[in-house]
Amino acid sequence: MAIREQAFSTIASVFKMHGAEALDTPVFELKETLMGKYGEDSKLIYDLADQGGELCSLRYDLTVPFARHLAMNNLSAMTRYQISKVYRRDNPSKGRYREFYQCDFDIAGQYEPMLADFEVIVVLNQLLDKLDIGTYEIKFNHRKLLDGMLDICGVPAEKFRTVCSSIDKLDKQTFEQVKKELVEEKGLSVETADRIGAIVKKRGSPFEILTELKAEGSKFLENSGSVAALGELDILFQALKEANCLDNLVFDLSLARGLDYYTGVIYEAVFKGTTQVGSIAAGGRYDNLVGMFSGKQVPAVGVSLGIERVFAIKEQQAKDRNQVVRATDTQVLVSILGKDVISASKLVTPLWNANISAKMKVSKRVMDHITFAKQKGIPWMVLVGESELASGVVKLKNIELNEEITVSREDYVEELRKRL
Amino acid sequence: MAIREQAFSTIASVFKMHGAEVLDTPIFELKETLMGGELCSLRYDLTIPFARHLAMNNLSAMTRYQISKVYRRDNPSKGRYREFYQCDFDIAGQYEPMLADFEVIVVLNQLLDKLDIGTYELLDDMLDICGVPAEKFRTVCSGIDKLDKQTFEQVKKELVEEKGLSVETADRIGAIVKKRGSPFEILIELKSEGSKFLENCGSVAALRELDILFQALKEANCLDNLFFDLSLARGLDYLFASKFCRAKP
Repeated sequence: MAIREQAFSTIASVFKMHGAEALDTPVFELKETLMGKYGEDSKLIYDLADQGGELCSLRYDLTVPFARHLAMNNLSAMTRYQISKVYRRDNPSKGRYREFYQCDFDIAGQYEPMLADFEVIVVLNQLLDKLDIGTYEIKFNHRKLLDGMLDICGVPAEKFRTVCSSIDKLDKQTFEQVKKELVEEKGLSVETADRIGAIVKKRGSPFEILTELKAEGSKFLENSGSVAALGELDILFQALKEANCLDNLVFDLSLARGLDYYTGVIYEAVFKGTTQVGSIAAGGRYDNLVGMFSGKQVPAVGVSLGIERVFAIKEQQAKDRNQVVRATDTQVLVSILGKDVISASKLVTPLWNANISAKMKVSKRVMDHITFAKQKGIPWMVLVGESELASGVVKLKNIELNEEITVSREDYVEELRKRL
Repeated sequence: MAIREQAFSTIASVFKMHGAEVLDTPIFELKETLMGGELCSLRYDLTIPFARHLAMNNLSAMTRYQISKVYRRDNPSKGRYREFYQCDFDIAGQYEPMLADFEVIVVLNQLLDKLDIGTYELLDDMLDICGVPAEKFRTVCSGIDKLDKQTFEQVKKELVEEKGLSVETADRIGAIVKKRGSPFEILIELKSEGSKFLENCGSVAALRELDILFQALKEANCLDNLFFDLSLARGLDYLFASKFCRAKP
């Protein structure tokens, strides 16, 4: 748990550095709030039983609750973070849980184009750097480019979303498998599927791909949505270059992201090391989500970090480095050789009053105390038996070095403090 | 939210100073197991999940803290929510009598001191021995627990009419639960010659334990805020031995 606490603390400090306030929302939302927001993943939502009140469901992510919060409170701008658990009726597997933490950062409000999007991607970079998990890659795309691409390839508008969910599987399946689904299940023609295949292969450094897509004769210039997107991306990449955040970005035209509500930039961070964990963070711009609740549009962009997968990586790191992580930080064990609880209370209280974390142990057998201290990783013992009580002294024992010194009852707290 | 974060931080640091490791449990527990998926319920408190965790993992000792939300389908009113945080500290395991009980009361004192919320009282009490049959024990406790909000007349009515106690038993309860004062003062009264509490071996053991506990708390300077209050019964079924801890603002 110490790794977890440390990680949360690091993450929250990055969020706060970017002016985010902490937001807490209830663990369940009205069922109708969550319906229709998650596309094909909606079947994974946990529903609470009907007990005669409103029908509720456990939250599936932290973005929809945030949008609901903005709409409900008639807010037109907010920069917030939330580190909370979400719930999905998935098949549990390595790194895939039914209840798990997400760490979200979002900027809602009307700003100069790309200003907020730039900040969110910087936050993502800083998080992954500070969490020190090794090399990572941020895959990047834009919803309007995707839509433009589908339009160019001849996909009818009403099939856009469902085709995107298929394309989204390209990180785990081959194009052959996805093509089969597109043709047999989603009803595209083979030519259309092949045209899609040619474009979604494109993957490379941001400016490189951007240049290709903007080149004369590019079909993307024929679609107004994608022309706008290309303009925005130019600004964004330049800004990220200034912030030294461009190197980890990979422009990847197969990135589609399964969720319905994205309207602009979309991104997904993956770990490049040996631990197979899938994506560790993802997000994008979702300008139309708040309006679905209130009728009033509030543009927003954000990122969500899947901390459980980061933990998996860090725990593996600790193992590889042979690090032992203690469950507690207890500094001192007050050991009474005997049965006397009152003596224990007399000795431990001054330590607590001095803000030194201490546990008491009352047992006649010395080995009981030493074994316990070693198990818990407690570095110091305050050892008192009958003879020490009689002479008004206390033994301080360093467990690791197996060294003891005798000090007076008056001074033992100070003597300990010097050594901690 | 800043006030909240600060309070959580203060609370967690007190817990950690007492050697507690943080424990996280799922937000829902099994209601029962069915084919095709388990029926689950949102947790009502953090203590039952802790007990389930100990049993499931075959642990014989653990000192843990948990700061998490719990869920109750209550009628929402001022201060009463359906989803709210609880901050729990528990010491599980076999120890010298009163060693762990002492530490938990010290933790409570430290929490309330550090959270700086003004004067408060800790109420300590003892189980009733007025002739209540053992199987009615818990339900009588829930009745007595309402004495902080209702008069004894109202509680007596419930004890006699709903819980089936005789009027004499209810009156005996009434005479005792009025007792309230400083820990050693009440303890001396209960231990004095002729006291009915000396006739029951369960309460004799309890009085002896409380003697140790109060001495230890005195050493730790935590006795001043304690009030020995025989009407404190605590509604929940699973608390026994020395019951304590309700803080009044």
